[in-house]
Amino acid sequence: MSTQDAATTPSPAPTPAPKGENWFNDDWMAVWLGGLILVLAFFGSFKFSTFKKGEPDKDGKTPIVVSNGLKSYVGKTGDWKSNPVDGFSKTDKKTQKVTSLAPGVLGSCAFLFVIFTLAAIVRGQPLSKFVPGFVAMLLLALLAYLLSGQEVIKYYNLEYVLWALLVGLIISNTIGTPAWIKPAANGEFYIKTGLVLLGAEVLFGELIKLGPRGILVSWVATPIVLITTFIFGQRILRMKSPSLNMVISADMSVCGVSAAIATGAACRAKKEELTTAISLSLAFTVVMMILQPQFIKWSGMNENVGAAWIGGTIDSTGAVVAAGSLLGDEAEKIAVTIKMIQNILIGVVSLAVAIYWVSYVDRAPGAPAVGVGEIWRRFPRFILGFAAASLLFSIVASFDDFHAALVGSMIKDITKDLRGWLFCLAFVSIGLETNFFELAPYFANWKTVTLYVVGQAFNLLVSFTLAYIAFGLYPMT
Amino acid sequence: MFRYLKFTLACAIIAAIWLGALPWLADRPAMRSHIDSMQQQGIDPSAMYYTEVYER
Repeated sequence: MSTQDAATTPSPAPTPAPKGENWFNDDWMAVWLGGLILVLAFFGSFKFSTFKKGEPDKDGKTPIVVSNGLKSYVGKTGDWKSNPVDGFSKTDKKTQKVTSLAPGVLGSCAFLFVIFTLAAIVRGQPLSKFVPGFVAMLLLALLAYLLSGQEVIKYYNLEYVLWALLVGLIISNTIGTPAWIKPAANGEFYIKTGLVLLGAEVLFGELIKLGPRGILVSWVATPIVLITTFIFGQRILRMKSPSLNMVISADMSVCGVSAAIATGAACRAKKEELTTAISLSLAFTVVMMILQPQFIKWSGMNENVGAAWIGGTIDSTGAVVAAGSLLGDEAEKIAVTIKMIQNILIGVVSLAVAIYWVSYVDRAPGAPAVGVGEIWRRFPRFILGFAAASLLFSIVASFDDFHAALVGSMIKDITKDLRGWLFCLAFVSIGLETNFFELAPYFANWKTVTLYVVGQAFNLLVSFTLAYIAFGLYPMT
Repeated sequence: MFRYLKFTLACAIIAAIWLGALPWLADRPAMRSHIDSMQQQGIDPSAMYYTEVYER
């Protein structure tokens, strides 16, 4: 098989779903585990937090400040410059107070160990095989986090997933993945469980705060660019793998790595396809994060238009904020706002991709239209957990300020870090299962790079037009 | 034996980059100013989702 063929081979057809529902397969187990983690995090935050009224903001509203007692027991390593041990502590820049991050790292690992050991017991996996493998996986994930915490890496947006992949790839392509780690190297399972946790972060109430200008830029540009890029890949470039086409289109038009992970799982993209899309996105993001604000300043573009443009085009959320901050405080807020709306679109996009895939892409050529029953039979179940978490926590957060603060604290102090560990474990697993030689054709394939470059150029054009309409023709007062 | 040699070599390259080259780069004026600015504002440019962006 030529390298071109290898990189464009479509994903394998889905395994036919069994007639009876298997409540303990990866999809359903991800829903149960994700649900359990969210329930524990929500009630734990309620029980162990203190709530008090903060200082009134400029609109006269008094926010509720939550001090979550569980916060210091969940976390990851921090940044460091030349000594990785510094990653286990954090120094407050203003007060110079040093806080240890070790309890958060240990707490997260211990919690995930208990939860996934329980899952192994439920599924009848021998613990003597699972436990050593999972401990090793946690240590490799910790190493990946430490690599991603080096200042240059972190502040130039080279996210931990890349280093988790590298750690796994080095092992699998040198000494080979030890057989005793393999029972715990289940990348898909960690991704699906992480996505259920991510669902709780997709809060629709946030949209209301953002206003019609942001919605115009994000909600019009994103679907146009996503669909056009997908059609371009299929009709013009004739990419043989629609899932690779979709994952690149989604990470470029929605919000980078998180969108790639969510849509990749929804359309069952191969691990090599997900790796290619993420690597492309991160490489271009670093360049755009540096050059786009410079171009905006150099061209004398209105800063608000420029900020909305940045928010609509730079893939990664963190990089958008970093680039927006170079234009000023107001510009930073606008850039974040636009990106937040795109972040929330992940839910709708993943659901739509999953439905489109089981209805059209998985259908044999010439076969009759797929009925609702068949769509349901093939539908990836973890997406239900993702959507349910989003809906449930959006409703709870909408009750009143207290519940909004409680859900906010649950996410920011607990579940976002656990979700990060799960994605990190997932990409270590992917690295451990991947051969460099299987990956190389994807990077050597001109179609993937062309798709990204043409799609991003189109994205720059559409987003600039909408940003100009929303913020240039009708300036903010 | 050769595979352990490859593994050791890969680890040595990683160590040289992360403990030598990157700390040196972090002290170059342009990079230092970017890193300090991000740290002072509490921004995490490697954030994957909006809930992770601000460290303050």
